[in-house]
Amino acid sequence: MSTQVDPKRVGPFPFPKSDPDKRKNDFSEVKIPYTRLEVIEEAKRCLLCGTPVCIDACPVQMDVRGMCEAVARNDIKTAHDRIRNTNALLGVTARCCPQLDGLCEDACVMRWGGQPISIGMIQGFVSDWERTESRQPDPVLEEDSGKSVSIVGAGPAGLAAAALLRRYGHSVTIYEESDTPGGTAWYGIPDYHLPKDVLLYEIDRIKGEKVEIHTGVKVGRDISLSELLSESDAVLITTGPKDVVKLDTPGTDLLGVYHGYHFLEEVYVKGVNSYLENPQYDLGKEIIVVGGGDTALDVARTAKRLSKGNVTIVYRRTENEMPSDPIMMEEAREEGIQFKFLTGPKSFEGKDGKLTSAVMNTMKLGDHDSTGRKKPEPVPGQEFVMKCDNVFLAVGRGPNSFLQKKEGLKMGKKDSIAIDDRHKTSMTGVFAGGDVTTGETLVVSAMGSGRDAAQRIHEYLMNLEDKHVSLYERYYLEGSFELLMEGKEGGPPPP
Amino acid sequence: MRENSETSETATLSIEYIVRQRESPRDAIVYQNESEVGRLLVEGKGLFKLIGNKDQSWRLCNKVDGEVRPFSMIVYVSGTGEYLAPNSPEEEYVLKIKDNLFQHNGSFYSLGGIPEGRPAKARLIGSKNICRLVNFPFSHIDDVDQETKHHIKRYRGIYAGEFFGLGSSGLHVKLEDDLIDIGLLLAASSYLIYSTV
Repeated sequence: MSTQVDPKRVGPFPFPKSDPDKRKNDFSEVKIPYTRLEVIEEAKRCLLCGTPVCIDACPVQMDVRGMCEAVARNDIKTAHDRIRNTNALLGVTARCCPQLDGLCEDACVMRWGGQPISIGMIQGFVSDWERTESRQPDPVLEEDSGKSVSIVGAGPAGLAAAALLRRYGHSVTIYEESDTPGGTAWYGIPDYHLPKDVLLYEIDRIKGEKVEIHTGVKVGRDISLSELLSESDAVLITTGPKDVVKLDTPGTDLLGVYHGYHFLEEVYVKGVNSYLENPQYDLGKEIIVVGGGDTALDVARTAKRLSKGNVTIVYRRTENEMPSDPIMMEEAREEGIQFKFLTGPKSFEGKDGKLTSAVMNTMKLGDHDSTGRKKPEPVPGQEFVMKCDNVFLAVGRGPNSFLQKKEGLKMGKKDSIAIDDRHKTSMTGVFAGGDVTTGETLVVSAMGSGRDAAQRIHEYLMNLEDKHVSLYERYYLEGSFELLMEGKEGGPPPP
Repeated sequence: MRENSETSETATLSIEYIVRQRESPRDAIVYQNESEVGRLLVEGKGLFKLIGNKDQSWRLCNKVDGEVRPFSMIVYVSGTGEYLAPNSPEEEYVLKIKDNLFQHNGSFYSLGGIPEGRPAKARLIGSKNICRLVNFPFSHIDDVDQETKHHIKRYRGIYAGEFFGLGSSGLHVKLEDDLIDIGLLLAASSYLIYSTV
């Protein structure tokens, strides 16, 4: 059994955390990594399943089994090579994936015994070893195909797609609107989850595979899709989520009412140290965050660190319905974040254009909505006032709709880019993947979608569309447990 | 009977199967009330045969809608004592699990979801739940779009069953009465998807 588990904690949380009284004052990483001895002991617990459900649950089919087999023998290099094969952002996903919540650790059969393998911690150790001690050679690329692909958006989907396309030998250029690649992983995930040097290292590795990244270029403004198509054989759009969901609450135009996503971007886009030298928000001491997802938690925890004030998250349903990661909820509580449930804003009040308080509705749960959750409804006569200096709204983001609207691409739900089964848009030669097609998801889900789109682009470029085999199917049919047990490579095959 | 005190929904879990692996991990025997009611055999990569009592047999395959998929299984009736060729186009399936979702008697169900009224952390430990989705905005499983699949964790439902346990010691599958006519198929599919080593 892992030596790190506190059985009194909620669920089989596998990792120790830094002292909340200390960490709420800075942006240092919350998770304390395993030592080499601990990670080997943990890897030895893996049953090396013949049909590993952990790999099924991974959107990029990372070779978890192969990683555990190698780490258990203290062969960290082989472990790294096996998981780098399909996961271009190893250190990022080790930290950002909610492994216990619908991904690899949730699927691990050891959960039936109460303790799934701490896959994320093992992966974190392997990726940190490679980053800090022993940079490994890049994956082998196929011969130059003579084909080129332009990718719009250097977030997780675009980066993962670029890495796979390069493996196939296609030349790749990414156009990124921001000054720094990384997308949501750069500006939307706080340093206490994902230190930026980890992300920068992964991006540097991808650039090392001769992926060109042009930052500060907004496709649709600085260059059109048609121009990109004239310069390349295919275009992939991975512009991610951006359009914030707006509340029609009166008073949202008051100074002091902000969108939480913009707040996170402004704090982290140039690095949190840069923000600390020149803070743009006068946070005050009483802060309210409206929302129930992971972003609301991150907005609250960031505001807490910057203000040292009182931060309260208000959510319109009960805690049971909150969609946020339960582990992050626990962390937020430890750091002193307060929660008010069955509460929603009715109006924001101010003086001289500046926010002074929020009038809140007390909510009750009514009939089921289309997600099966009970719909929150205000209870008349039970409004109450919360004094506040700032309110941050974090109630969801839709796809970045700029490019599809500008270029007249067919759109789907919530102004996403509509794609067919082959990730093709309504414009010939233009594909799309990641959150711009589905709305905001996880980093690793966006990567999986980006890789799937890249696979489709490869088949399109090489006239292999009628021979399509999905990445998962290739892994399932060609990966071999028997090979692994014979000491040969048995995980997901390289492209 | 299991009662969810927070929602006052009750589900009568009167059906229970235990699926226990045999010599090879994916071969298994299905028990109900301590009697053998099914035998699961591997026929090929991703292809399985389930033999029930009364000469019934089914073919199970993880190639759903033309693609091998995780957390998916399609079940065809093989005919009395016969074993048909895979994916015969004229066949109708009797159960299609696609990306943890299946449809039965007009209702949608999710495998591994969270029953309405229970906290999200309930999914972190213990059994995996089977939930009958409420007001699910699709009429056929083939219509469910990618956006919904990516956000399926948010969808809650009525508690309709659960499964837990490693196949080597026995995967327990408990189901409500509404699922009785596909109970054996669900038990075998759950075993193949979640519980083999």
